[in-house]
Amino acid sequence: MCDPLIGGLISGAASLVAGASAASQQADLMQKQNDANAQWVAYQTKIHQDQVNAENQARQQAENARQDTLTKVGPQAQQQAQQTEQQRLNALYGNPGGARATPDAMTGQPSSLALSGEQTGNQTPFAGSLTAAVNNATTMARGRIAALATAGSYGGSFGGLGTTVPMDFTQGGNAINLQNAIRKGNLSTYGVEQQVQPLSYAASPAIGATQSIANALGGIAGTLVSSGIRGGGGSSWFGGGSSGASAPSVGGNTSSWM
Amino acid sequence: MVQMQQQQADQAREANIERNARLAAGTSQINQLFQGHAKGAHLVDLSTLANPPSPPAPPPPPPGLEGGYQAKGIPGTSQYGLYDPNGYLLNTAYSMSDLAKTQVPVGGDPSAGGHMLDLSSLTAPPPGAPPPPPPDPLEGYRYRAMPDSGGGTQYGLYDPSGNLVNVAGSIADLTKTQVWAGGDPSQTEGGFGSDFYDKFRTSILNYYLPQEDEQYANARTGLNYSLARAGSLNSSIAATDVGKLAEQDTMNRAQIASQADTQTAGLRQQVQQDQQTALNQLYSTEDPSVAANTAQNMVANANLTVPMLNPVGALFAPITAGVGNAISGFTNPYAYITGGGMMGATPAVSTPSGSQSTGANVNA
Repeated sequence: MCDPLIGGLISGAASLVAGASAASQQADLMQKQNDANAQWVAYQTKIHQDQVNAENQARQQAENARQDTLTKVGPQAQQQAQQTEQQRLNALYGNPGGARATPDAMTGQPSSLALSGEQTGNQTPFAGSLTAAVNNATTMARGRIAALATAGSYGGSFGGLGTTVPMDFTQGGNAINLQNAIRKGNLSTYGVEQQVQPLSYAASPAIGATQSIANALGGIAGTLVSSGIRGGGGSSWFGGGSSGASAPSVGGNTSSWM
Repeated sequence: MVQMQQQQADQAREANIERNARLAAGTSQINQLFQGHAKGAHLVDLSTLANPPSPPAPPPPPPGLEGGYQAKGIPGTSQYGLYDPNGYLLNTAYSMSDLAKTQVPVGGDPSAGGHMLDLSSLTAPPPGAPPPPPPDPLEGYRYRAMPDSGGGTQYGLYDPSGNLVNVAGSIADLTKTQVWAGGDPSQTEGGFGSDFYDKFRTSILNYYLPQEDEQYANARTGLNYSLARAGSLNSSIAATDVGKLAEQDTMNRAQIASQADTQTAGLRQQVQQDQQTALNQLYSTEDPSVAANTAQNMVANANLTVPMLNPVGALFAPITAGVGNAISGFTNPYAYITGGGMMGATPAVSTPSGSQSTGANVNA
C-alpha cells in the first residue's frame, strides 16, 4: 500500500514539526517565567531600596532629635541654663512683687525701718546702730537669697535643671517616638510587600500533548524506516503483509491508527 | 492570586502613607496647641475646601508700547522686563506697576520732540481684561482623593508645594485640620506661654504676701511696743532686732516666692504630662481628630488647676516672743539676783541677744 520507508520519513518529518512546536511553546513559557521572575526581583529590589531609604530617613530624623536633645542637656547648655535661672530666681526672691514689692531690708534706706519713737537723726548713736544692723541684715539676706536661688536653679524651680532637663528629654523622646512609629509602619508595610510572589507559569496540557505526538511520530518513523530498510520494499506494514514487522506500540491499537 | 497580593501590598503601602500623614498632622497639632505657633501666624481657612476657587484666568497679553518697546515677563523668573525695540533688556521689576516707573527717553532731545516713554499703560488693565481674581482663601491648599488603601475613600490635604498634610475620611473632617501659615518661626505665641505661668505664680504670691506683710507689720508693732515698754527703743539691741526682723521679712518673702515658683514648675510639668498623654493617645488611635479633642480637654484641665494655698503660719512670732521674754527678764527682779548681777548673762532667762538667736533659729 505504501512504502514503509516513505511512511517513516513522513512520520519523522511530522515528528520534527511537532517537536519544534512543542519546543517553541516551551521556550516561550520559559521566557515568560524568566520575565516574571525578573519583574519580581525588580519589584523586591525596589521595595527593599524604598524601605532602606525610608528607614535611613526616619533614623536620621530620630538621630537629629537625639543629637538636639544631647546638645540641650550638655554641660555647657546646663551651666548656661543654670546661671540664667539663678539670676531670674535671685531677682524674683529679692523682689517677689505684691503691694510691697521690695522687702524693707532691700530698699537701702535703713532710717525708714526705725520704729516709732526711735531717734533717727544723723548724729544719734541709734541711727548708726540701726544703719549698721540693717546693712548687716541686708547683706545676710542677699547672701541667703543668692544661695537659695542657686540651689533652686539646680532643682525644681520653674526654669531649674530639675524641671527643664527632663522636659528636654521628653521633647526629644517625642520626636524619636514619632520617627519610630513611622519606621514601624514602614517595616510592617515592607513585610506585606515581601509576601508578594512572582508570577508562576505552568505548562498547559497542549504542550505536553504536542510533545507526546512528536515522540509517537518519532517512534513510528523509526519503526517504519527500519522496517522499510529491512524489507527492501516488499510487503509492508501498510499493506498488511506478513513482513513480520511488529506494530508500533505507541498509539495504542495500531491497526486502526490510519 | 499574585495580582491580589500586589493589590494588597499597594493598599498597605497607601494605608501606611495615610497613617504617617495623620501621625505627623496630629503631632504638629498637639505641639502647636501646647507650645504655641509661629508669632504672627494665622489659621488657614479651610471651610471652602470642598469648593476650591477655579484657577485664575491666564494673564492678559502685555500691553503694546510706542516705538516697539515691550514689557513682558522674563522667562524662568517671576519678574517683568522692559525691552527696547532691538530686544535689549532695559529694566526689570517684580510688577508691571514698578516697571512703569522706568524713565526711558525716546526721540532724542526734548527740544526736538524727544520725550519720556509713556509706560502708563503698564499700570492700567487692558480694555476687556477680566478683573483680578480674588485672593485664594485656601492659600493654595487643596484636597485630593487618596489612592485606594483597601477601605473607604480617604481624602488628603495637600499644601501649596504638593506635600501631604493630613488625611481624613471625609472632606468635612479635612476642613477641621488646623494649619498655621506665615509668622515668624523663630518666635512663638499661643499655647502655654509665660503669661499663663506668670499668672499662676502671681496668684500664689498675691495670696501669701499680704499675709506676710500683715504679720511683719504686727511683728514690728509688737517689737516697738515691747522695746518701748522696756525703755530700750534707742538701744543698739533695738537696732539689732529691727535689722533681724527686716532680714527675716526678706527671707520669708523669698521663701514664699520660692514656693510659688516651685508650684509653677509643677504646673509646667503637669502641662508637659498632659501633652504626653495626648501624644500617647494619638499613637493609640492614629487619629488626629481624637487626639486633638484630648488635647483640648487637657488644656481645659490645665486651666482649671489651682494652687495649693494654705494659710501661712506664724512667721514672726518667735522674735516678738523673744522680746517678750527679754522684757520679762528686765522686769524680773529675781533675774538680777540669780543671774549674778549681769544682765544678759543669766542662763535662766532670755536676753535681747537671746532674742536674736531665737530669730536665727526661726530662719533656719
